[in-house]
Amino acid sequence: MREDLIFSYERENRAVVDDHVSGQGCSVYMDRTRLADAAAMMLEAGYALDDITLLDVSEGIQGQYRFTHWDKQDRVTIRTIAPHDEACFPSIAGVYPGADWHERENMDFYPVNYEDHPNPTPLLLPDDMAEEHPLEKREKDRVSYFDIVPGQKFIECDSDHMLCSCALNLHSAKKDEFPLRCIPELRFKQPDMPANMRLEVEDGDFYSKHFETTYSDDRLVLNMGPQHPSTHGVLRVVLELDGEYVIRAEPVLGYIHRMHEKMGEVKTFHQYLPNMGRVDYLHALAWNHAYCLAVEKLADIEVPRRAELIRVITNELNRLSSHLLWWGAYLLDLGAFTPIMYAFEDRERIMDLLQVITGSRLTYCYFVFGGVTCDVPGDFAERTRSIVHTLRDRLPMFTALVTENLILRKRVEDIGVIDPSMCRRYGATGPVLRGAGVAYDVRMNSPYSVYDELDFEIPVYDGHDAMSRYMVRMDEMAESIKIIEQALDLLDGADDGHIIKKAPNAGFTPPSGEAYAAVEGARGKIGVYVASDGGKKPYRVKLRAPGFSNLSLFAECAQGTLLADAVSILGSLDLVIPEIDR
Amino acid sequence: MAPQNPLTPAVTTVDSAMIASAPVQKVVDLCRAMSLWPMTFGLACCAIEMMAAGMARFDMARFGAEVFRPSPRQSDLMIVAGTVSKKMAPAVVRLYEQMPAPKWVMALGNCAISGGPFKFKGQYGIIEGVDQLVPVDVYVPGCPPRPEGLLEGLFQIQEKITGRRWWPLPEGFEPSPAGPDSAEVRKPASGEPETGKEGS
Repeated sequence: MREDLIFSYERENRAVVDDHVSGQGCSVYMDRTRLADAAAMMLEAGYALDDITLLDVSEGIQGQYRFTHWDKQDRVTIRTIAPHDEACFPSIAGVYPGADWHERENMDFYPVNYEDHPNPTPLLLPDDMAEEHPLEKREKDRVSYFDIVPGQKFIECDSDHMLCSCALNLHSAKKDEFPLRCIPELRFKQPDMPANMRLEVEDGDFYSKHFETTYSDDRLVLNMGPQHPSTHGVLRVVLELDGEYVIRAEPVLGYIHRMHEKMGEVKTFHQYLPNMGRVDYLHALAWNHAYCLAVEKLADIEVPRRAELIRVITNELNRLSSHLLWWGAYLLDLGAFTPIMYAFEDRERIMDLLQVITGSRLTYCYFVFGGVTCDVPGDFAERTRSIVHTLRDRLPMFTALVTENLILRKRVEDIGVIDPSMCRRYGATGPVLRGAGVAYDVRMNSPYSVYDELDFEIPVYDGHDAMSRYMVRMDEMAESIKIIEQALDLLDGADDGHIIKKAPNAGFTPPSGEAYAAVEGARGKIGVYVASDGGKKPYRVKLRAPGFSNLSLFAECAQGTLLADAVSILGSLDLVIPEIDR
Repeated sequence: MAPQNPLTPAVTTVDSAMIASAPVQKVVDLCRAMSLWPMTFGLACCAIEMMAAGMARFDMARFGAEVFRPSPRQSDLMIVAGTVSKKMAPAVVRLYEQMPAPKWVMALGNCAISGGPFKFKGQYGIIEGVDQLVPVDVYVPGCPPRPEGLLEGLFQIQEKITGRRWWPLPEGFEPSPAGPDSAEVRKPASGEPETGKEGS
């Protein structure tokens, strides 16, 4: 009967608003045949695709398509279910090219197909694992969707809601016109990737538009990586070159896939905390924060004000150290060795400070459900102030030394044009989006923790190029210092403890439900989705990595540029490969 | 689950020295030990600590190992800094084989030693220890190890090459007992073929 219930939701296009319950905004249930239409409608309405999550429940495999609007503070989740015996969804990669990678990732992890997917090859797993689906649940482990989301929790939304009306207006006769082709072998029958060129190649040089193409026989296929210093880890980019020009750039992922989502399902809620420090080791505390927020939302835990302030301060310190490392490494990519020495000098000071309170230099596991593991020492405020003052005094030096340097400017100005439309289609966030002139920052647009009490600005540059992204990050450092100083002032007045009384212990089991929390990391919007069936372990953990979406636009962005500029573009995206591969 | 090690471990040979004389070998060993060229080979978190070790504060240059080379053909020390996934494993073996002998390998961090935090029942994606692929000379534990740990690992490799420790021990540390180990720990005299650990 329950199975009928979920399909009846879809037939009725039921929309529910559950922002307060789970942070997912408005959820719309719809039949999967309408997905492509709905996606086109969402794009037209100005929504960007956050991620595509699959949830394996006994009714079938549920696809959750999360969309965000940059201005409206609105989040929409489209939910659609496919039965296990015909697990197939229409691909929306034609509408949102960013969905391409999300769908390929889902095909790796679950036995699903995406109809008309342009390139259904494995993304994160090696090719010889194409038959394995590590996140597929065994029959006896599956629970009903309504064990996770109790039916009575649904609050029907009024029909004025944008998406609700959209969904209801969708042509419901579509189902018969275009029946879905659910062929399990579909995925492996399509031709191999390297042979057919997926991107449409335009003739001409990106800069002058006067560029004579040579014969395709002369094209050189160059493997950049997986061991290449400018890929910041083990990213591999297959470049097809015509002379010095990039005709096609295809990132190949999965060289550092570390099974974080699988580990979420085999470890208890508490045991999973240290993983968060290792997803993105440069801004580890943002991941700590996102996971803790999600679980706190799930279990309805209030965090004391002092803990919130400590979280904000440490988070911003971590953001500073992340941006400093990016700055040094990016300039190293561009051929300047000295700046990284300066960057590490400041970075080491911040790491020394964070080490005192968190106990580690890099892979922090400091936030716990209900607060932080320990209070800050007495001289913390004083030390932090002195460190951020030193850094603030040095920022003008960085500007004079590097930013105003003509050699740098020639390498970054007008290189790597990423406009808002491209960001929307690929779901890019963070400095990449703000460098495209869109003032979207999760801290400002949907404030969490105590960010709404603090006075700071979102730096935005309208150049669309690598220089804009560079400037956004440099200005963000100054803003982070501002946030830290304000939070330190507030910290003196907050003395309600660093963690709630009766904080969840190691055997903690939250009630069943699902929660989604998004925070602003150094690279963009970090999202953690946790679903619990009331057991000791999460039923499903989905990590939305900002770098994953940011990198997915590289293929389009690098097309037609010089090889040396492709390196500059890669660096300007600020990649952390383990975060992308997860 | 796929077999743990689908790959053939790396095999390498060392040519015999042209002048096989102990004093000459001693000088050559000393030169090698004091000018190790590590490969820029960052896999994951540990790579950031490897960068930190090369920067001004920890300054690996003091011990002659600051010349990070991006190409394996120019380096003789491979610092495996991070998790080795099954997809990455063939590249690790290839890189090791491309390095000119004599060459040394340091497994930096728990992931490279044993899979570290990513080793769990039912794991499907990583190699549990890089020593299944290439012979490892020094293991540096930590998650990630501090830069001091990396430096100590470097000292151990220098000790392994030359047969003695060159740098003072930190306060409060006892020197490792000089037993039958110290002779065995030494690099086999040139001429002997050295094979991957998997074979032995």
